[in-house]
Amino acid sequence: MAEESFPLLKLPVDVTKHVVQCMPDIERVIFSFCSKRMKPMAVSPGVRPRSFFVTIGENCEVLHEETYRDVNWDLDYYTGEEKVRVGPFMNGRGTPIIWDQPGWSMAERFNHVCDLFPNIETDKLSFYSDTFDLNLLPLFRFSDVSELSLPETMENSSFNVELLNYFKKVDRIEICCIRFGSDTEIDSILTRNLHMLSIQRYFEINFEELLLINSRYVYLSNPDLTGKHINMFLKMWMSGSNPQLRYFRFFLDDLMELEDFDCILTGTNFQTLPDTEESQYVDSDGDIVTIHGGIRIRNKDGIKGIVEFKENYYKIEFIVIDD
Amino acid sequence: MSVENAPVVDVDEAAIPVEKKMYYRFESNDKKEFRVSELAIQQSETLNRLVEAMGYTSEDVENKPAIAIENIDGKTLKLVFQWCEHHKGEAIPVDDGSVPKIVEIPEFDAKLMDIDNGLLFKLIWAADYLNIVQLLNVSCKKVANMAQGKTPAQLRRVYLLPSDEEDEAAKRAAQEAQDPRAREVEEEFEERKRQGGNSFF
Repeated sequence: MAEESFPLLKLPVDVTKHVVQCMPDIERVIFSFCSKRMKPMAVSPGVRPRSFFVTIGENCEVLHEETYRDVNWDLDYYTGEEKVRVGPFMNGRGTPIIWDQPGWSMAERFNHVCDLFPNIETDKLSFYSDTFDLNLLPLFRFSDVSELSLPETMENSSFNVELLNYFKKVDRIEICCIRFGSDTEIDSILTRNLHMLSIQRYFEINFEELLLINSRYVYLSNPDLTGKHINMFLKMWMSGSNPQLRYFRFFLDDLMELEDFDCILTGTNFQTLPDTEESQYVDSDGDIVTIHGGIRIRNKDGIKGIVEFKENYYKIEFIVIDD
Repeated sequence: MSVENAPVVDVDEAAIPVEKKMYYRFESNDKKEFRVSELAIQQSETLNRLVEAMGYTSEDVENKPAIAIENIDGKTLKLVFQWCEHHKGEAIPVDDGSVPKIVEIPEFDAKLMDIDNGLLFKLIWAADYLNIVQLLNVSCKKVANMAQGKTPAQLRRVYLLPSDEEDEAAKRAAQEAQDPRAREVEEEFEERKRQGGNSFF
């Protein structure tokens, strides 16, 4: 049976737009690809919670989750080079819709989707594959790229370094890949004035490099770090180093011997707080967090820091508290 | 006078005249007449303003000719007034500008709009013309629901949307219609190309 049609463009322009604005995000994104003339009708102003993905070709996926947009590059999303696929994120309704968009480059399709949500101010980029031609990056109209993630599958150090150098303005970096060959490149990342730096186990840094870190929120998982290193780090903070630091989380080797922990506060002037004493700090996402108790130290300017041992001592948090 | 000093008067409630419900008469462009309650009319900003401006009394609405609505036929107007009577007294929603617009279609509205797309088109057009916000919302939502699960090519067929190529062709045709000389020049150019000439001028 032939499908019944509806002459949408014969309605007054405002009403046509009203119809399009009644479509859920997924249908509106698909509608925008009908023609250049339809695209402006599908633009969604404002930043609102959303939940869908758009796969562009074989290597790029744009995820809209809550009010954030993540852009992932991977080896193969099994969609086909000229395809676009739009679907619900996670357990949303329905199955993805997939179609051919011949003659459109990946950047054109990517920019088209980004243009539909003009008020999303930041993008988080994750690269799971080094097959992407970095020379094409200028063609992509990213919002301000605030966060860059290099997972452990990223083994091509020169690609990783090139990415980090291209996105010089990112405020958050998550590194899980193997350590770069060049110490100079490593130093240049560690000394960046970042909001958040997360360095996970495959990217090993030594104690001297740890002292170079100049970020506000630091997450570090490194089996080579010992209780003595943390003790030295805290002493240096007390004497005035790392003035930017707001939060430091160390994930330690779970084989570390217990006596190693004893030395973490050796030689420092500390005070164990009762659990009834509450302290508050702002986490890396801007949320206020309340903690109870902990061990209090102060730096030379009287600024308070609290050390907390968590989960059988394998996770140590150091939090700078504003009085 | 202060509240304390106001005179206390016993009121005989039975003596208070009950306000008579007023029904306005409207006529469609195919001369069908409808009687619509004052409260139902409030769903339409356009009609509400119109009757307020007319200032009819209950005698006027009976004695004067029905108010003509010249752009809407009887079949469509019947649906419009059925909807207004069913939803009379309900608050008129205010658009907060959010996209997508969150619109639920109630059961009554779904049954009312179980109609062919031609009549649905007229209903939307009427809801917009008469400025009936919620009727416009639900009818637009019904049309929006047609997009579910479709690719761009399928959407172009459902909504009769021209492709980029068709838009370009229509634009060229419009330009040529405006400037017949441009078409002549283009034809001349094409003819010379066919003849193997590589310079037009």
